[in-house]
Parts: sequence; C-alpha cells; structure tokens
Amino acid sequence: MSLILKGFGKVLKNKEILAPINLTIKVNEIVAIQADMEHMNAFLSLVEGKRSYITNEIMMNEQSLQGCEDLFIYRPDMGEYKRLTPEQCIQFWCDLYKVKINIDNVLALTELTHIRNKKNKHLTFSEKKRLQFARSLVQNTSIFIFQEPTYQLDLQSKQVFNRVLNEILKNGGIVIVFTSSLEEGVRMATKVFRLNSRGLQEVELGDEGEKEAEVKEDETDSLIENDTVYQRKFEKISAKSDDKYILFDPLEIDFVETRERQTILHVNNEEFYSTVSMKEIESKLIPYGFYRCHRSYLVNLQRVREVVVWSKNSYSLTLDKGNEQTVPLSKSRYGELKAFLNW
Amino acid sequence: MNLRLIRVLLLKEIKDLIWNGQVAILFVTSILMILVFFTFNQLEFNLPGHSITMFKGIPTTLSFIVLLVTMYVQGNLMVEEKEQNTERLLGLIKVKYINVFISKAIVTYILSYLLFVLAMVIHGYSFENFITASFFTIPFFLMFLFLGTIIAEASSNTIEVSLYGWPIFIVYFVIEGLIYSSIESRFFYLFPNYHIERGFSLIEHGEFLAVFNYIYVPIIWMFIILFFLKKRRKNSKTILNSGFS
Repeated sequence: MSLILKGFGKVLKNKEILAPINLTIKVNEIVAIQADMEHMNAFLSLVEGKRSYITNEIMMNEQSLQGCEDLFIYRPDMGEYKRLTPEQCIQFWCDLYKVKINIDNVLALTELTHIRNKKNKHLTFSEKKRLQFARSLVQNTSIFIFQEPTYQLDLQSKQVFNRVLNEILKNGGIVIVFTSSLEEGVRMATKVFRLNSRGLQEVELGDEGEKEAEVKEDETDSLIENDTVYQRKFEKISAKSDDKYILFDPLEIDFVETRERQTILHVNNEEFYSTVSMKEIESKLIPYGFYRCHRSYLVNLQRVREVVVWSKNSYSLTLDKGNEQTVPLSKSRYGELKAFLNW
Repeated sequence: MNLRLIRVLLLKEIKDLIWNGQVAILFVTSILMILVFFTFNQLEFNLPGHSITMFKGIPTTLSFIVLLVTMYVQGNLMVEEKEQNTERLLGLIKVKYINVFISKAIVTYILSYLLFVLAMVIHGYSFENFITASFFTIPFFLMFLFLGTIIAEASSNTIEVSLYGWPIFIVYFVIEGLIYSSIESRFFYLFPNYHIERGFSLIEHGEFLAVFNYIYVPIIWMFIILFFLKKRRKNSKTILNSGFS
C-alpha cells in the first residue's frame, strides 16, 4: 500500500505556486518535508481542494482518493471548542467520524487524562496541541498530514507526538510531516525532503549515504592536502556577511550545519554562512570539543545540555538554556557519543 | 441535509451552551425584561380623553426576545465556529453549512421559544392563544434566525456581532415606536412589527383564523432575508461548504 503523488503542483496565471511533485510514500513510512510557510500552505491547500483528486494527482494504491475527507490533516491554526472538555471533544470527534474507540486510551496516550474534565480554554498551548494530536487517533484513515506539529511545543508534548506517530505506524499509516525545522524533520522521519521553488528534493539521511559522502569529502580533502604542503596554524573560523568576513572564535560557535551544500555557523541564535567546507571546519574544530553528531551537523559539546531519546532510532541534542536549539543525533553516533561522554 | 450530523452537532452545541456566558446573560436579561414589560404593561395612566398603557404587552416582549436572543444568540453561535477556527475541521470532513446552521438554529429557537412561552404564561394566555401564537410567530422567529446568521457571516468574532446587531436593534424599535404611536400611515403595513401587533390583538380577542391574514408580510420578510443570506453565502470565502442545499 502506498500513497502516490504524481505531477502534484499548481500554476497560477504565470507563476508556479508549487513545482510538480512526484513522490511515493509506502505504508509505515514517515516523510518529513522541510519547507517555508508559503510552500507548505500551497501544498496543503492543494490537498484540501478538489482538483488533485479529480485529476488523479493524489492516489492511494493506484486508486484515486475521493477528497480530503479521506485524509487526516492537522494545521496549527485549527482550534477547539473552548467550553468543551478534552473528553467531550474526543467524544464529539468520535461521533463526527462515526467511530467507536476507547476514549480513556486516547486520553492516556496523549497524556490528557488528568485534565479530561478541564475546559479547553483553560488548557495550556501544549495541552491544546496534544488534544489535536488525539484527533489523529480517532479518525479512521491511513494518510496523516501534519503541519508544524512540534512548533513551540514542550518536551512532554513532543514525546506524546512521537508516541502518536508510533501508534499511527502500528496501524499501518502513512505520515507526512511539514516542518520549517530540518532538525525536527530529521528527528521524526524516515525520509526527509526539502520543498522549495525548485520542487521537492530528498535530503540524504542514512548511514550509507553518510559514509559515501564522507568518502567523497575525504577524496576532495586528499587532493587539497596534496597541493598544500605546509601546515597552517588555525585559531578562527570565517564567515561571510554581506561584504565583510567575520572571524569567529571556535568556542563562540554553538553548532555548524550544512544546508543546501552550504556550511552555516550557528552563533547565539544567528546564522552565518561560512566560506569553508564542513569537513575542513570539522578538522579544525574537533580539538576544541566539537563532535560530528550527524552527517549535516557538527556540535559544540560544551553547549550540549541534554541528550533526548525519542525512540530507538531517534535522538537529538538540546543546547544550553537561553539557546535551547535542538540538533539531531544519528543513530550510529549515539553509541559513540555515549561512550565518549561516559554517561 | 444530514440528520446524523445535525444530531451530532446539536449534542455538541448543547454541551457547549451550558457554559456559554454570553448566551446566559442574554437569556437572563430577557427574563428580567419580560418581567419589567409585564409590570409596566399593568400600569395605566389616565389623561383627559386618553388612556395610556406602557408597552404593547406580548408584541413588545416578543420583539425584545427575537432581537436579543434569536438574532444575537444565533449570530454568536454561528460566528464562534469562525472565531475559534473550528470550522476548518468541519470543512475538511465536508460538513455542509446547512447542517451547522440547523443545529445552531434549533438551539436558538428552543431558547427563544422558552422565553416566549414564559412571557405568554405571565401575560395569562389561554391554551388556544398559546397554540395560535406559536404558529403565527414561526416566520418571525425564522426571519431573525436568518438575520443573526447574516450578521455572523459579516463578522469575524462575537464582538463584531454585537456591534453590527445594534443598528438593527435601534431601527427596529424606532419603527415599532412609530407603529404604536398615534401616527397612521399605510407605509407601516410594509413592516413585520405592524402585522405582529395586529395578529396578537386578534389572538387576544379570540379571532384565531383571522390572525393568519397578518402572517404574509412576516413570511415575505423571512424570504427576503433568506435571499440575502443565500447571496452572502455565495460570495463567502469561509471554509464550510457553501450553499443551502
């Protein structure tokens, strides 16, 4: 069973709102799509409209879908009835979707049991989001689309969302998660894509890809080394900002990320485009306590406050308070880091 | 129209209504106003050649109920789907607008009718008066249900509903004041207030069949407002499926 998007795109007058997307998502797969709001909304409004279903741009098992009522869609701006309680809300959804489920289980899974009789208007932001996640356990469908599900969520609710995803996969679901944060996408999904005006491109994630990429980078580096016979003494990392170069002290840097083949330095919640490759920066920064936690990330271990275990295959590092950014940690690097930090 | 959906939405509406402060205030205010109107209606001032009765008993009370409860409650309930952004979910699962309208209209009508019954009991209506008045006022109540829905369509939150409702409230009572004054003009025949007042006079005098001669103008007004509501829905960009199909 798989969800097929074929030539799924939109052109308005002379402007391409959404470049045609061709994508097949198999059952038990979570696909994260990193995109800006404009592209997310363009995609979702197409999903919510009628056209794509009539023209067979969205199909399930080579059969066309009836419409968006066959899908679960979560949008961050979806509200809840403020005077109902979470329990009444779930009961209402059950009646609406014509399903009978154990409401106690849904409340327990989404950690809403203790506030089941509290009015929705008194719930916190994260509790409201957890209530929305509960809806995905009510609707009887196999395609689930979430837009920015973890944005501004607390850690507890992120874990609940992870549990909800596991539950969906257990029941043979297909999940598409839209996120503006690549780190979140990497943490949650089995496949990560980037959606922009050029269309949909896959972000390589797997360990095999990681090794291949490292081999390629090594080859490039050996060529550089052959040409460079002298040893350089290094103390600063450079980044370009407008018409000037900024030189950072290595310990100022929180983490380094590669995005669309560019190396980005994260310093005090700001991003700076570096002029050197990730591999080169890695070799320079490792003596300063940096660690390559993921193919696309190099983190300053001095800044790491928490190692979060989301599931057996999903980990992330949370940086210091006042910063609180998260950086994905590869499955293969988890054991190594554990041994390295000796916890 | 989907009866199962209407039942589900109605059940949700009832659970939600219990804690709806705005509706509670409007409901309690209406009860107080019914009592105030009744008290003033009992007072009579005699001037040389004139006997002045304050308020026209049931017609004035009914006008107050339809404006304060029927129109405002319906407007508030309808706009809340927009305000709370809950209509998005209903739209996604293809719940038709008519189902949402009917579920809310049932709740509003019941609330308004309860107040109307209370007013009729206080004013000492007989059972026959009661039955005739109930049928006679149906188009009048529907007219204000549609009006409340139009206001909700034009508003984005409950504050705007209150704001847009006031001009209607004022204009309606100005017309009512003119109709009940000593001024006589054929122009008044165009307004539902006149026909409601005439109808209730006949009900109070036991002329039950003649009452329905005064139902046509309220029915015409009801259809005019329904026409405007349908027109408004056609141009509406809300998520719920449009159309009163």
